[in-house]
Formats: sequence, C-alpha cells, structure tokens
Amino acid sequence: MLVVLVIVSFLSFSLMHLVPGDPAVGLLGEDATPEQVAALREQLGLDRPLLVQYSSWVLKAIKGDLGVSLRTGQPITEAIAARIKPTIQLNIMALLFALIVGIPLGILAAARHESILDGGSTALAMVGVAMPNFWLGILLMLVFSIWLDVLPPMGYVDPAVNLRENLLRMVMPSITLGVGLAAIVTRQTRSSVLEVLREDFVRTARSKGVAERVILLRHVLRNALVPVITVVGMSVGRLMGGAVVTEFIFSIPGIGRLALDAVFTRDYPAVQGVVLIMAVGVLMSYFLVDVAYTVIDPRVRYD
Amino acid sequence: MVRRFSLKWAIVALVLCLAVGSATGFAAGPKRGGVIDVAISSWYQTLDPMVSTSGHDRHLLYNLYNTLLAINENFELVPELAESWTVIDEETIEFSLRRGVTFHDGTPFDAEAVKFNLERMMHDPISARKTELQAIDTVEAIDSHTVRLNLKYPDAGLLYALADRAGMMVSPAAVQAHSGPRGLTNEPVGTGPFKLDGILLDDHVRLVRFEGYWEEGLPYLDGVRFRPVLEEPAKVIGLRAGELHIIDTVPPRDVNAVRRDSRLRYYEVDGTGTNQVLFNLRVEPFDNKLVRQALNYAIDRQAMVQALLFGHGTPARGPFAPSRGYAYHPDLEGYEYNPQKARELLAEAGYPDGFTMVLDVINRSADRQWGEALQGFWSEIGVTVELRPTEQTTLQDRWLNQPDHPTNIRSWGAGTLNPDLDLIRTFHSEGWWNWGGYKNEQVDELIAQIRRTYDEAERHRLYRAVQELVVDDAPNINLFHQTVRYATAGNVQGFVPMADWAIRLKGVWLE
Repeated sequence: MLVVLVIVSFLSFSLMHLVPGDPAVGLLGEDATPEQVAALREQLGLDRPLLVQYSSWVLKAIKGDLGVSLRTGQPITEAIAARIKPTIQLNIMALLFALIVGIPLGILAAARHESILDGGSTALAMVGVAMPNFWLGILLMLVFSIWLDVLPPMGYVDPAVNLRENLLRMVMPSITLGVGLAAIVTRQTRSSVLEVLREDFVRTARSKGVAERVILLRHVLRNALVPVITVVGMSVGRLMGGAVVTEFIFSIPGIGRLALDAVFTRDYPAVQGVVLIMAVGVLMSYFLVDVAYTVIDPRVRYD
Repeated sequence: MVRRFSLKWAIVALVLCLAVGSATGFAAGPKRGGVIDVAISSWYQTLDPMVSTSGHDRHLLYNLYNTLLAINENFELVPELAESWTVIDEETIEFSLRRGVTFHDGTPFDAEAVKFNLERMMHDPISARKTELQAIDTVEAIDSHTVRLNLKYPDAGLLYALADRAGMMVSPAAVQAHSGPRGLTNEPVGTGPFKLDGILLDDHVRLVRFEGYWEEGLPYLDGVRFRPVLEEPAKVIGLRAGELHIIDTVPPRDVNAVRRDSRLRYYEVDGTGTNQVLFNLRVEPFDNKLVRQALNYAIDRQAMVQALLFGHGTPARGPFAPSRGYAYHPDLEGYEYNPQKARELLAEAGYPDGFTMVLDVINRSADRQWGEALQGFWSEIGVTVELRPTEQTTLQDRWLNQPDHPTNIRSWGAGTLNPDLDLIRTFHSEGWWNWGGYKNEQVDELIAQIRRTYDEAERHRLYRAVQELVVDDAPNINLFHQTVRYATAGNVQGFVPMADWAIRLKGVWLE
C-alpha cells in the first residue's frame, strides 16, 4: 500500500512540474517584473532542484505535514480537512444511488430476461454510461430548479446546521455523479444474476418448489453480488474523479474543487495533498471490498 | 356615556394609526436590512489592493475599501476620501481629505494614513501598483487632512489611478499587524461600507455592514456573500431559482431568457474592454506590416458581433471602446471587411498563396468560437489556421517565456479606468504586456507626451494621433468591444451598473 502511495505521489509531482505555468506569476500577476517573480519563487522554495523538493515533501508527509498552500498560505491538512466532508457525502450518496437504482433494475432485467424490461434497462444503462457529467448536471438543474422549482441549484449547507437544506442540495449532484456507476451496476448485476440462475442448485431449489422470489433474493443474490461488489470497488476512483466535475458545476466546496483550483493555479503542495488523500481513499475502498467479500460469501476467508 | 366616549376616541385613535401607518408605508425609500448573494467568476487573488492584479478582486475591493477619488456612471472623477483636489501646477497636486472617517479597526483616516499607503504602494517589493504611481516623487502630509503629491513629471492619468486600486486606503495599523508573507491577503481593513466577516475558501466571502461608515445611512444591506460560481449557465440558473441576487455577467445567449423573465432585472452598458488578436512581431510572416493589415481586412467584425455576441457589442475600429471618454475616436478608420484587398496585400507582401499559422486561444467556449470564426475568414484568403485551445495559465506562461510564441486571442482593458495605462503597457516598446515585441518610436514619444498633458482637449487630439499610428501598424487586431451585462433579482434596488464592471453595493437595498 505504501509503495502505491509513493508511486502515485511521485507521478503526480512529476506531471505537475512538467506542465508549463508558474505559480509565482499567478500569485503576482502579469505585471510582475522578473525580479519580483524570482524573489517569490525563492521565498516559496520553488527554485530548489525537483528531487530535493519532492523528497522534502515526502519526509514531511510521513510526519503528517502536507505543507502549505502556495496560493493561500493555509496548511494543506487544514484545507483538506475543511473540505473533505462534502466530497465524502457526495461520493457516498452517489454510491447509494447507484446501488439502489442499479441492483433492483439489474435483478429485474435478469428475471425478465429477453423481455422489454430487459432491453429497456440495457438501453438505459448505455445512455447512463455515455452521458457526460456536466451535461446531465446542467440539465437536472434546469429541470428541477427552474422548470419545477423544487430543488436549490447549487451550494452546500453543513448537515449539522440544516440537514434538510443539505440533502436538498445533494440530490442533483448525487444523481449526476452516480448515474454512470448505476449503469455499470445494472449491467453487472444482470449478467451475474443470469449466470447464477443457470447453476444447478437453483434448479434443485425450483424442483423443491421454492418460490421464484425466494430463490432470487435468498439464494441467488448473495452469490451474484460478489462481482458487483468488485466492480463497485474498482469504480471508486472513477467516482472521486467525477466528483471534481460535479463539485464544479454545483459549486460544492469539496476537495474535488480544491484539486481543480490547485491545478489551475499550479499550487503544487495542494495538488500533491489532494492526490495523496484520494489515493488513500481508493486504496481503502479496495480494502473494504475485500472485507465485504467475507461478509457476503462465507466461503471466502483470508489467512 | 363612557362607552360612547371610548368609541369616539377609539375611532380617532384608529384613524390616526392608519394615517401614520400609510405615511410610513407609502414612503418608498430605501429599506435597511437583508443579506444578498452575489455570484462572481472566480475566487479572489488577494484582498490587499497593493498586490491585486486580478480584475475579479475589484468586486470585493470596492466594497471593502474607499478610494481617494471615485468615478461616477459617466466616467467622471468625483470626490470620495478626498473631498476636493487642486492641481496647483503640473507637478503638484493637493488633496483635501474628508474628516470623520475611520478604518474598520477603529483607527482614524488622515493624511498620515494616505502618505503611508502611497509610499507603501510605491516602494514595497511586491507592490503591483508601482507603475501607476511612477510619477510621484514625494508625498507630504501638510496637516492632518491635507496631502500634497510632488511629481517628477506631469501625469494626468494619476488621478484615474487614484480612483482604482492605487487609491485604495488600507489601515496602517493593520499593515503593521500583518507583516508576514501573506500580509493582508485575507485580512482587509479599509474604510469601505462593508467589512470582512468570514471566508469559506472557494465557497464564499462574507461581508457585513461597517457600522462606522462615513456616508450617512449607508450601506443599506446588513451583509453580502460573494460566491464564486465558475459555470456560467449555473449563474443564470442560480439567479432564476432565487439562489443568487446579483450575477456579475450574463452570457450573450442567455440574455433573451433573462430579459423575458419578469422576476429579474437586466442591465447592459458599454464596457471598457476590447477583444484582440495579438501578433508576435518577432515571428515570420507577422514581422511584415502588410500581412498584419491583410489579416485585419479579411475579418467581418459586424458578422462576428451578430453571430457570436448576439449583438451585445460593437465592432472595434481602434483599441479603445466607446466608453473610454477622450480616448475614444468614432471617426477612426479601422479596417472594413474587404477580403479582396486582403488578398492583394498578401500578394504584395510576398504570400500570394497564403501561408499556415497557429492561433492559440484560451480554452473557453467563447474564445474558441472567435478562433473558429477567424479560421473561417482567413481560409478564404488562403491562410490556413491551426487552432490551439489552451489552458489559460499555460498560455500566459507561453506569452511570458517563449519569445517565438504564436498569435493568440486576448481581451484587454476591461475594468481599467485609466486609458493611459492600457496605452503604455500594450503599445509602448517597453510595455509589460507588449509580448509581441512591437516598437514604434513615434508611438513611444506620443505616449510620453500624453502622460504629461492634463488638458482634455489636447489629450483627445494626442490619443487620435497615437491610435492612427497603432491601427495602421496593426501589431494586433482589434475585434470588438463587448457590453457589460448584469442581472439581478427583481427585489434588488439601487444597483448601478458601471462600465468598469466592478459591482458596488453601498447604495443597494432589498425591497
């Protein structure tokens, strides 16, 4: 796990420094003289050799110090801590949306195999995957905030302050972010349910006279869910990436927005910090997926 | 007997109440109170006027700070922190300061504060205001409320500079208290109608009424939240959904929808900006004036304004927009749409079969559309354009650090009050925005002359002379001047749209 984090952080560091653009110029503006820019670069430690900059970052990161934002001077850990709640909430709600919509739809499609429902859900899934986030986001805003006037279009309210406002503002972003994953979950559920339905034990259960619904829900589902969980686990990275665009459209102050602003202003420590946190998040989700396997499938055991 | 007595007095009392009630009710004056949400286009670069170079900062700065002088809707200079000023001679200006003004931290505003501020802006290593205040030699505090500026040479543009960020007065005590590298970036202390209440980084900036503000009765609003909303459609949606009260721009294609919505108010005024194509004169074939002129003639600017700006702008004949007062000359010839002449000029320049070029544009939908339009126009005269939409910071890096950078599209002058500044930085051979390497000694001389001229009629004449040269030399193509468009919720009153685009809120109230 540590090796992965090192590789990821080194890659993001290198990529950011390969991209043209100078954060000192961004901070001082285009009117700055070359001397002013050089002075600021020295002040910010940007004139040191790249490997020195990277290793100094790693040494501090190990101790939990992610440095200070070039743009605002705020400690990165503070900046991330202040904004991680909305992103986590957004990701969880998008995931829930994907599961709540995707799994039942997938089961139905498999149960009514080859029917209109099956074909319809397949088509819907394809549209869901192909649809660009930002297009869907703006469309939802138009429909629900202007035409129907039932949801506020943007912003974030802390759930501790006002839970209702918080949830109202999270509905559209969650759907926007979750649609792609919902489509994937639908397809995966459908195909793995179909596969399990073909197994011998299902035939046995049917011949014993067990009701179809019981077969589906009690016997088939737990087996079929394993590949679905795999697919969901692997998509967490995708969710985090999608959160950047979603937060941008709906003006949610999460770490996705932080990452975007950091990249545009070449705020290297902020980019490093956010990438690291996101990598940790993705790795943790893989771990949780492994744990989930043991719960769903008692045959799976780890030494 | 008692009952009738009471009834009569009850009726009298009732009538009196109604009379008083209707008198106050019908008084349609401004109401105090309320907090509004204003959408702006980006998070601020800094709240310290000395360092600020981003135009978006001005929305916040003009509400947190006052300037020595101010401009009104007609772009005329009016008093603000300076009650009056006298140009004693060409190189001496004296300001008489307003009394009874305090900073947000309670310290008094006086001549010493003005001296402190101007000297700071002139001498601090990271001050971005040095060039605007270049002409000042010394600042004297004659008495507690009189300041004298002794100039090295006459500089008429200085008065306009003092109506912008260079004239914003910061509390000296605050500067001394925040002497670290971040300084006053997030700690503004001015004399303005609002003071900073709090920030949620990248989400909103909260301002509240400054109860000690010097203008009687102002501001009306209790507070303001400035929210950077990066997606333009989201701004309009937010306004229509009641989430925002004022938005700082309306995309041209949304103007009709906003106008038709009776719950909103729409404002449009001439802007001060110009959208331009900048040539790099160090790179062939753009070192050849005939080529640059040819490319100018090949563009149908009117068509671009109609199709891409939906009519919200004017084709440009020179670098200065109609709202720039004496700098603007409606009778400048400019370049009419004449593809035939363009082809002739190209042939004369030695490119009868045209050539291939690269055009960099900022990766925004508007800029890309302009680039595509130019691609189309120029292909008709044999010039093939490779369009390169690029991220803004990368593009800036290219202009600054790559001497052979390609032609690019940029906008200019939006939000600048002082036309002298635009002239110097873009067209002077040592101008810091003159990345294309344009040099014309006559232009340099005229610019030097303009800076020394206070007389407006003479300035008008000189501006004409310099613009004729600059348009003929064509180091850039002046495309068009956009209008400035705002929209507010229906219950927002007292909003005055300004050509320099900054949103000023002291006179705004909610119905």
